[in-house]
Amino acid sequence: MKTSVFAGLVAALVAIAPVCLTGSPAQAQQGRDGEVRILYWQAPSLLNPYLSGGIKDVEAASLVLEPLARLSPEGQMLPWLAQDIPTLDNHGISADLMQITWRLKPGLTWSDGSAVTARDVQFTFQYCTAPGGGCAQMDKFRGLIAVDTPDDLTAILRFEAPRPYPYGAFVGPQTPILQAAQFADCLGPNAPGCTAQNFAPIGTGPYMVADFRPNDAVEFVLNPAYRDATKPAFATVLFKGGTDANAAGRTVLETGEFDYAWNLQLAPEVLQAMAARGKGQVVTAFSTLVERITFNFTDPDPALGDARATRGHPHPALVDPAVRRALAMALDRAVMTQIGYGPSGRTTCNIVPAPPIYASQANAGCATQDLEGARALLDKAGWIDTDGDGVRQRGTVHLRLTFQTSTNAVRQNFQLLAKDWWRQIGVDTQLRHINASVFFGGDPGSADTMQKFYADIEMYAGASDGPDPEAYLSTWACGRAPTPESGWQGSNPARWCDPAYDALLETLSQTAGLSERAAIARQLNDMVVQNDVVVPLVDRGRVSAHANSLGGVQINAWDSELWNIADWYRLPG
Amino acid sequence: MLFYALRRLAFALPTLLVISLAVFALMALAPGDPMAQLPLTIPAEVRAEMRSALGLDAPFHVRYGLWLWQLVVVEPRVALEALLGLEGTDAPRILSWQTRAPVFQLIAQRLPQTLTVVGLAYLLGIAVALPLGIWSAYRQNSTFDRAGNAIALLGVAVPPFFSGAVLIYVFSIRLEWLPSIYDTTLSVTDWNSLWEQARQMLLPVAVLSLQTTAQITRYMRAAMLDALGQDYVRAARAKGLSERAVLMGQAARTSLIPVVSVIALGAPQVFAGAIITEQIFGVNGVGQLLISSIRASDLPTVQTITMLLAALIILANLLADLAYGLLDPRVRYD
Repeated sequence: MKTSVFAGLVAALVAIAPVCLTGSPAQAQQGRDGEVRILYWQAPSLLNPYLSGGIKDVEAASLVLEPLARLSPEGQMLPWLAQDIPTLDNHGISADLMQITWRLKPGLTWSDGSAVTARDVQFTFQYCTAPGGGCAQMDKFRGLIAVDTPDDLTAILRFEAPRPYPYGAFVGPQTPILQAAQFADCLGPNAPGCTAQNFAPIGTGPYMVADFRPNDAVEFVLNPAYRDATKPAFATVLFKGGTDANAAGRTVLETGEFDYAWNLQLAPEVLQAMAARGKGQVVTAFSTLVERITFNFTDPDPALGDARATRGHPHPALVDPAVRRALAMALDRAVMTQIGYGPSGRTTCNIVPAPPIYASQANAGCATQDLEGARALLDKAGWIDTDGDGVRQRGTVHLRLTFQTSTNAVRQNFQLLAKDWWRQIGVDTQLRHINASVFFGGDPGSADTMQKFYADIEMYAGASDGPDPEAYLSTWACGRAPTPESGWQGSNPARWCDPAYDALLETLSQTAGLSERAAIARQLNDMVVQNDVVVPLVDRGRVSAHANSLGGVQINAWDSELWNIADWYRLPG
Repeated sequence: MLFYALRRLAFALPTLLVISLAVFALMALAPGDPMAQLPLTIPAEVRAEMRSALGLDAPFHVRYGLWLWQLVVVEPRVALEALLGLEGTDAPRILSWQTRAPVFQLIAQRLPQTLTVVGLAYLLGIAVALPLGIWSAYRQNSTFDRAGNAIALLGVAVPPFFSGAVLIYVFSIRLEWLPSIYDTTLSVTDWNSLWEQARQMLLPVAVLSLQTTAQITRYMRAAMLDALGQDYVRAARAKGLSERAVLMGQAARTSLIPVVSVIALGAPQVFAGAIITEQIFGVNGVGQLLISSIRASDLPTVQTITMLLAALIILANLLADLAYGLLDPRVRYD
């Protein structure tokens, strides 16, 4: 908390600095602070977010390419290349919710000096929606039928159906504006072959690509045509990729070779020891990434053959709400958070933990472990250990469950903790961990994907893409269940189905206005959590580190971490 | 000898074809998905379209055939045209799934740092190992021999991920003398940057050459011990040749024969880079490209690098065989 207040103060100082320093132009020159060195232990593969949805690629590209609006560290929209955020009130969104009108800031130029026009916005839409291009951000453009450009600064996005929350495309680092002139020959099937363009896009951001080495390093130089003549403070950026999170943390916190290290997923005590050297500081930001446990509502018994894990065969134990609730009550989420994540995690009882207006207050108290209560609940529901083997049963069904997750030290620790707690309430758990590229790979031919879910319980992390949780909440819709018919694709591996939930989702998709939408979203969150479809465990923050001599950093989990690199500067001393 | 070399090369072709098919089949059958690294917020339909844009949905034999055609026809043509400065062909080159860039372009970009770091370490390792092995054998059971043996054992026993970490802890964290991360963008233009380059190469080269030294010293020492016990060495001494002439002219020359084949067979590994050491120090050469491509299920890159390696190993085998003829007059190739 202390650091964030400090960061806020620094940010405020930076904001007023140009005003104070107008008398000494030497201080406010572009490139006055030399080089800043950034280390991403996952190296960027290309700098076109439309061809690679990877976070490392999106964030590296964010130095060059910019969207119409960015998200602040609090998850609020900030006009970036646009003059303001279109709303119903300022008539930027039409009353029938069928179109949204973005107005570009006047006088914007690309780094090659040519003017940015609404035609570039229109082209970017065409680029991502052209068939055969394999655009990674296609989902953000879904339902968008055309972009009209009545004049150079106005882009009108038209939807095929009313869109109460029309801020998908061109908001956030995944969907920046591309230069039409540069990418004109890269539409559709030609997109992957445009290596030169994908490695060095022309943008409007504070930096330009000087040298791109795929999966290794990028050299950026400042964009002399940047719209603020006093920024950026750093003339060049060395963006190095590779090694691992441990080495990355070391280079900033222990050896001081780098100024910024990204995404330090390390054990809390390791990070603390590194920070104790006093060369740099660890910064954390939260958005909606929640580590959660999901129960299987369908029977994964191999004896069922092709009907395995399908809705025709409900799970013999887990469809009983008492079992799910007891399993959830037996977990001590505070201990899990502390062991696994330390200060970079927060115990949560919601699958939508942020922004504040969307976070439900109805589930507080879930974090307290209650083994006694869990036992009583199982007793009452008729799950009793009649044969004295330590495992409860009802009829012929024993509470022997398989718990799977991806191979990962923290997750495996969590599995061990849960196994022990569940043993104490009379549930026997068998643990499995699966290589992440298989578990998350979605290959319908593999029996080990999280979608197929040939187990009783599984654990993974998920997040909302942007502050509005509609798309995220719709992952629990009935129709999103992975089934043999859907090629085992779908975002609802629990295969939970509640018509009331789907009906409320439908209402959300037709409701405009922030507070109305937030109220429905909280209700949907409560339905998922209070039915114990999903047990939220930890709200995971983004952890990075920067050198003490680097000023202006405002870590952001909603947008690119490097979203305000134009405001970074070198502290004296 | 020329005919022998040509015949060996001709035999190599079917071998390479079988290797390529085996590697392709293994990679295609292995679990894993190039889209697995994308955030979960990207839905399955979009992933499916991305896969089909990369040609992943085509059947196995079509993908293999296309890759083979690209490797033996398109890529050599592109290389030839680049050499002669001709207009480029439009035929699709082998593209990496991860970066959408031609795989050969990636390899070309990675080779310099791999050759400088791994290659230098290899040469340095050999340069230290040969005299160390010769002298250890000559002074068998002396303090020098024991010390040399201890170093060799240490080098074989200590894996690079440990020696690398120790060196980083001592020289980068405690003493703060040397960088722990290799900057591939550094270009040597003056004395200052040359000094920087030397500084950043020191740790990875030390880790790698320790290993090479350890292996080759042991071979050299064993072969030398063998040779020193032979009658012809005694005969040379009896003739009154100087110790130096006996050691270098007689014993060392013979004992180099097995060592040369070890060195030649190890040479292709220089091109493959050093996966672990490159990863630790962020050298990002061919080894790092290979391992990161395997992790990302980037089949074209893995496949192409593996094939190049297979070709180099076959070539190195041939060169080792030919080198025997030069070192040992008894060997003939008719």
